[in-house]
Amino acid sequence: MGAVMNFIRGWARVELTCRYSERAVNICARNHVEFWDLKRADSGAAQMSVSIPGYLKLRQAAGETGAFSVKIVRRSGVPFFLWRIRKRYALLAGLLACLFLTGLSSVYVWQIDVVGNETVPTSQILAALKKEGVGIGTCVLNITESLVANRMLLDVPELSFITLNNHGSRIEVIVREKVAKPELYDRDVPTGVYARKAGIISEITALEGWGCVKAGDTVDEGDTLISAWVPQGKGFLTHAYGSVRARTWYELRLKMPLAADRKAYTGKKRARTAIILGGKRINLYFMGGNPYTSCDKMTTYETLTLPGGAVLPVTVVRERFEEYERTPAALSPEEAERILSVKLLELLEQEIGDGWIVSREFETENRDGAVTVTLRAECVEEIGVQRELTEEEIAAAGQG
Amino acid sequence: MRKKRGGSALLKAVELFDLPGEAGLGVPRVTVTGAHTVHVENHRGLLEYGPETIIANCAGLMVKIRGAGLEISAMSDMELVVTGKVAGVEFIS
Repeated sequence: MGAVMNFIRGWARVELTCRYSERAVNICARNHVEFWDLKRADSGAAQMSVSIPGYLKLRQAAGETGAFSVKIVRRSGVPFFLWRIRKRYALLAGLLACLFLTGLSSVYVWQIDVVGNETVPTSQILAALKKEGVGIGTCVLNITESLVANRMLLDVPELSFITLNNHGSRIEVIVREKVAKPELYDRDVPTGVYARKAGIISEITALEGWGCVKAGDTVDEGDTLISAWVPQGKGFLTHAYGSVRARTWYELRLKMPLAADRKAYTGKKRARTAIILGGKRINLYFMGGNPYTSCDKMTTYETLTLPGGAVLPVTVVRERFEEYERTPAALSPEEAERILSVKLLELLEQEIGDGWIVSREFETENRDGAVTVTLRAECVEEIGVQRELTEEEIAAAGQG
Repeated sequence: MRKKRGGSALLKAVELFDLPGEAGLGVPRVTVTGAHTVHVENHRGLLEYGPETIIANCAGLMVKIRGAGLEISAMSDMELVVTGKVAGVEFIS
């Protein structure tokens, strides 16, 4: 760091010629000449590095005492460089323009980092920020962090805390998400557990309430599995809950015609590039729109970074177009069967939720230019659902 | 003779009140960091310097720094920083 500062301030390596160079050094120290890296040269003279103000003091001391002479051996640093190029106006103008642009760019936002979000997507937070006027290319001086943070809390209700830290041209957004309120059971509301579909009970765990079925019982949709009425003593109503697993059976069917259109690429391709600089897109091409009537468009965004990982405010957008034609193509029955089987299994897994498939079989029928696949499966799944008792049910339970 | 008595009285006063010597008497304070840096405060100038020996004049004594590749990395009228491979520091009265 010291070397960098010395370079900015400018320094010179000087040689002090004196009969006793120690004396010259002592004179320098007494006259508050700032120097470092003192060495004795082969000739016996003292060589030292001095700053520009130090050199001026050194010259003055040499003149006043007459004890030694000063010779510059080497000079280095920004002031000397500027002095050398003082007549190269274009270079100076470029240097000044560069300094000006660097200074100007530091008051614009080039990067926004969102930290602390787990469930709320970063894109949602960035969109809300954009709505409040903070985005790539926004002038930092126009951002009132506290005001934006307060408005953001209203825009994104899932957040409980948000703060914006301004690190020059980088904005760091620290967020904390709200903790979801746990579902509270109202124990005073009589509730029963009912079957949401038919099946054979395989396991029942009544945590509260009266279990009405046991393993091996067959139940229909809507049957009471855990009753809110507990027939102990005089009997009472409660908030029944628990887990009821049952074996269930499914028959799902899907049909697909074998005649279909298929994409056939013609081999014609086109690519074009654009850059996004500070939120502004600059197209490096003349013709907009899709170059083909039927084509696939693939867009890649590449944000440029420096070797150290610092993000530059430049994103290169590459768009590739590939023309295709729709040609009629018949699917093979095997391919149609494979596609339908995968879809049927996905449907079944959606149906049973946390449950699992015990056994399954597929049946395929190829008729009238279409393939029909039927999936028959036996599963084990949770079938109990809670429901509050109606007033009639409560009255009936009280009389019962 | 008077000067000597004055110095002695000052020394006694410094000892009596537990004052730091470098503040009251201007005696040198030498700080050695590892075997590569020697910091001398309250010096009164260099008597000799070279890559193997540096001698600083201090109040009433001389501080001799021995070693190899010694160089004066910074110096003011009160302080002196010597870096290099330090072999020893001697006080010559």
